[in-house]
Amino acid sequence: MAKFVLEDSRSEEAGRSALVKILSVWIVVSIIGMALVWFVLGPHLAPGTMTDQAQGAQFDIKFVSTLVVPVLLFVWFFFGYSIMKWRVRPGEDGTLPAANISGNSKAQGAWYIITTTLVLGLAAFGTYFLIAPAGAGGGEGASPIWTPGTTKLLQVQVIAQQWRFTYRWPQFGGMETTGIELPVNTEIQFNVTSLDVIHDFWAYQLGVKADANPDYNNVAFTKTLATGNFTVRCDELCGIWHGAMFNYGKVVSQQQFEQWATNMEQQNAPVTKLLPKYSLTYTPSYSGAGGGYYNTNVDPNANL
Amino acid sequence: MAIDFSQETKSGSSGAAAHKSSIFQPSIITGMVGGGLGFLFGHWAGNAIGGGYQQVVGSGQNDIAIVLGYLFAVVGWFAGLGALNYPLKKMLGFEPENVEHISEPGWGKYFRYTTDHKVVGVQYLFGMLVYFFTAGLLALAIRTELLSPTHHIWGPDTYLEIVGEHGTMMMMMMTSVVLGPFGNYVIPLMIGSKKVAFPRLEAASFWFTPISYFILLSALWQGGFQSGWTSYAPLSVQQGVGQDGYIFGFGLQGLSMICAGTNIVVTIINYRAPGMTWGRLNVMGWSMVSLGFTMILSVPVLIDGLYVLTLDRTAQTSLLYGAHGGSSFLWENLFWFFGHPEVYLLAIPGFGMVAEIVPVFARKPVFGYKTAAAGMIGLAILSFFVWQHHLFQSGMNPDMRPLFMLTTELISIPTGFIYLVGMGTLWRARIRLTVPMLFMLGVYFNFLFGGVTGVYVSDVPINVTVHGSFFVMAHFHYTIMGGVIFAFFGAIYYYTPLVTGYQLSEKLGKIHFWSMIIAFNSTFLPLFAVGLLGQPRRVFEYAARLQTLNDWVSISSYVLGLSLTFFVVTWMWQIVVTRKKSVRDPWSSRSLEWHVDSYPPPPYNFETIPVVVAGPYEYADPDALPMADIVVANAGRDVARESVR
Amino acid sequence: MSEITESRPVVDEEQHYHEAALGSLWWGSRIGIALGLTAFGGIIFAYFYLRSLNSHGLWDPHGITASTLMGALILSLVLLSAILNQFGNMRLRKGSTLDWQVANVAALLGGLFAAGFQIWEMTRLNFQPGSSGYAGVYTAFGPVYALIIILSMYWLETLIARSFRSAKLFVDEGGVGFSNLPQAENFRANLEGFSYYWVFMGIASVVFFILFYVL
Repeated sequence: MAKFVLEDSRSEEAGRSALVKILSVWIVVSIIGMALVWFVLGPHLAPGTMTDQAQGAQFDIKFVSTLVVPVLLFVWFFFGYSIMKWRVRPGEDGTLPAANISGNSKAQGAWYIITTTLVLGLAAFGTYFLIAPAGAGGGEGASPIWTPGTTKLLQVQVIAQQWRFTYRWPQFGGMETTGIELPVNTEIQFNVTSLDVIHDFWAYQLGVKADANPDYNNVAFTKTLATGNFTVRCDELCGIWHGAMFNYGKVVSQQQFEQWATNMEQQNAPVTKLLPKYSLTYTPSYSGAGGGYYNTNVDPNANL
Repeated sequence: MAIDFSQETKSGSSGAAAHKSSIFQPSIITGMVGGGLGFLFGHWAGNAIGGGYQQVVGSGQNDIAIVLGYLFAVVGWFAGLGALNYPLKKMLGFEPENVEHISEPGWGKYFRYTTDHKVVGVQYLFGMLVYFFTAGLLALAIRTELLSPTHHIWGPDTYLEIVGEHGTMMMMMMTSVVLGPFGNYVIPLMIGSKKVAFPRLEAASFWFTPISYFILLSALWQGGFQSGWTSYAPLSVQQGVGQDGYIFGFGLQGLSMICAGTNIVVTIINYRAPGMTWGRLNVMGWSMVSLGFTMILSVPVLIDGLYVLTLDRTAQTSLLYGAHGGSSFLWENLFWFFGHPEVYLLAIPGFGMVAEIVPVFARKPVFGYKTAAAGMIGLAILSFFVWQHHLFQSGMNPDMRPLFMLTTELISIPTGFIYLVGMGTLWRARIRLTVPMLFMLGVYFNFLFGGVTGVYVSDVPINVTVHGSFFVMAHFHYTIMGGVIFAFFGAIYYYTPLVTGYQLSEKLGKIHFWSMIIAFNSTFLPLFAVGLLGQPRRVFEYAARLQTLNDWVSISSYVLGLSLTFFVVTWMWQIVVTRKKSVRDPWSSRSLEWHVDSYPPPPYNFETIPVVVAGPYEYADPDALPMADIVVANAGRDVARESVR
Repeated sequence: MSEITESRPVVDEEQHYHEAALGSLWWGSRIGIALGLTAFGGIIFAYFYLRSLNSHGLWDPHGITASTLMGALILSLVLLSAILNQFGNMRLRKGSTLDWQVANVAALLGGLFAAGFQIWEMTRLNFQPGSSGYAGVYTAFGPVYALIIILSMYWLETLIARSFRSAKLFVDEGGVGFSNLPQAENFRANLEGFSYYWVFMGIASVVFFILFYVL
């Protein structure tokens, strides 16, 4: 029984030179790849630049995508090279031993440190870009903690119900419209609520997404930067016509918006009178809290 | 049937004459009769109880009748299967029976409530394949609808029924897809045990799955449920009786998970052979322990959530309805408190399978054995602290978002361990690109996309764009289908020689692998773009500009379907018709499960309890002892040992 | 191969699996506690969540709770059952199988009555299930509590029945409390698991009582 000797191609030296090859190719290709993602793909990434929040989201996606490139490439190169170099060729005995490595404290330590740093860095990055652009356009609940820092906000209430969106404008007499137009260069506060089940107000180009919960006000902020059209879709399954629950809006100049809004206010005046009082939620509640949409004065505990 | 290395004959279905079987012997048939009678009784009782209430009269919908019907159907099903005989016997005070695995020849045992863990494993394998292909067909139905943004194949209600059924069925089945077939079959062999701790719980865990399958599917002809697999309240309270099918289907699967998880954990802890220390336990064993504990601690909360939903639908409580003192957030919390550990309990056994199989084909020890075990335990623990990342846009607790973003991103560290282990194990290895190995490398390739996109969805500012879109959908299909399902198929190729005694063709396997991985990536990679471009999930109408991408995806999904059909046909053909006998230890594995007397293993697993003297992964040490001193009847050709010395 | 087979330690298979079964009973009962904790945990989470949200002031606007008298009765029966079980175990360790049997039949009855009263109470609640948050959570809690008690009592019943049926096995060795037979060890391990679990349920019951009837 001859003593088994590991061939040169699997020796420590071979491993070292393989690592050098992998790392050098990886660095070069990564730099090219990162530059391509940042400069070529980056400006075309979702969700565009129509608002401050959309711009922020685009930057975040660009940043993370750029960071992902070297990670993908490292794993690919590593696996690819190992498989190419150390696979069993036809005619070889594939059951012989290979290099007896059951761990490597340097490699493992480096891996722990790098992944931990990367992860903590990403969490810090995400937290900063969540707080800085006033909640990054996400629904912040009834009492938002990250606000734009100005009180001059256009209030738009989004009312979702099966299966459509309507909008109420407290600063325009509490009128309710089926369409939405927004002025450019304006801080906007969306108050999102629902009359029945959970919906989600997703204004894609505005970089805004907030669940519409029944009986609950969900606030999201955005600041428009450019004019154009945007799509609103329901993004939380809400029953059979969920797929058809969408409409389109426009960001227009401030003058045009003023004109549209006052026009709508006048047109809608007879209807506005019949609507329940403007409120942040509309609930069929005996206590009258939240506007008492159905106005049912029934106390379920009344006879106790 | 079996390839007994000592004696070529003496087995086969001819021996069935010794066992008198009749249709009255408890089996799946009596179970179905019992279940049917139970349903009729429960339905009658529900109508008697609920028929007079205002909410029921004239509404055409009595959830109480359906719920009680399902409840008694389950009782009847288990009574019919004979599963209640033993518990009743215990009430009479009989001493616990030592389970001796007496192999009943023939096919009958696969249709019975049985305490042989190997039979349960095979039952699970076929059960899970039925689940997978049913839900897969539903997926193709979804993709067919999405061929066109405006022309419809299904009505909007049917479409959502299909979406909900696909999602729920897949999520139910994925929880058991590795644990059920391979955990149950292989783990006792791997740890050198002749038995499992709770054989009846194990059997029950399987027999929950057929009835939950039927109940879930039965929702389809009761109007289905249009609320998806997440079934957010109050939409799920609003639904018709189809929602009760969801509740019971998912709930029974939950009970199955509890039974299976308890059994596997206790078995690994208590039934390891002498010398099988924790440091020698296969990585697969570590993954099963992590998985079992995750199940035990998360599944009851799902059952609570489903129960609360049932009460809102039947007893008219208002736990999930804000206007009467409840909250729709309650469901979201209860559901995701289970739901997020769930996705890791899908992933962990997949990783376990990968770390188990890669060393065999790399002829090296697992790189960083402790890191691998720590990775799985870390995943299991962290998974309990991330659930609110599904609710970043829901409006609840905005102040908690940085915390949940942090915990979610922390989970990439243990996930990264799995990559470290894989890469280290391949380093300077002797890599045999067999079919199982290809599938395991496929897991690494696919899961990488799932992993890095996980960073996008966990980052709250990016989440604003991608939440609820096809991006998220592609992300979790990459992790679950690209990860767990690839591991599952790899494990099928790996263990078929052990389980059936027949060797599979490498050529056919490679055709399956390459067609599957290409079609899979071609199906799901474009969906990241579709999501980023603004398509929400679960819609039947989408922007016309996205049609090209969607059509590409749909056509790829048909190819994926064909690839999987190819697997079923060739696999069944090889184990039923051509039946090329396997050699002993075909992959030259050191692990105990391959060193049994015959393939499939004899009912008693091992003649004597093996005494373990070495670890399972010492492939690179030419002087390593065999893992245990198993005295194999007629050792014959034993590749690993011969070549090492 | 031969070098390890020769030095092979002798494994007493029966003993090996007997000990594994004892360990399984230990772990099984602890997992039972974990399952109980998480199952009730979901409901207790609902309790605190809805209580702190207090949607529309409707957690419990009129301060109505289910009958405190009934609650106290159920709690005392459960605690009595746990104490009787512990007392019986003490007597068993002293060698009196009969005392154990008597105490535990009483414990069984106590538990069953507790479950029965809980079910009875569910039929005579002084509120509608949908009238408030509290009402909903209580409606959810009651049946689960009763079910868990009944399942626990099933466990105890199997132990009692076993102690009667197998009594003559252990007569010569001084009863099941002293015997060294594997059946007796298995029985004691099973009983230890049950008692541990049942004490835990007793403590949990005190918490439930405070939450649902006192606060």
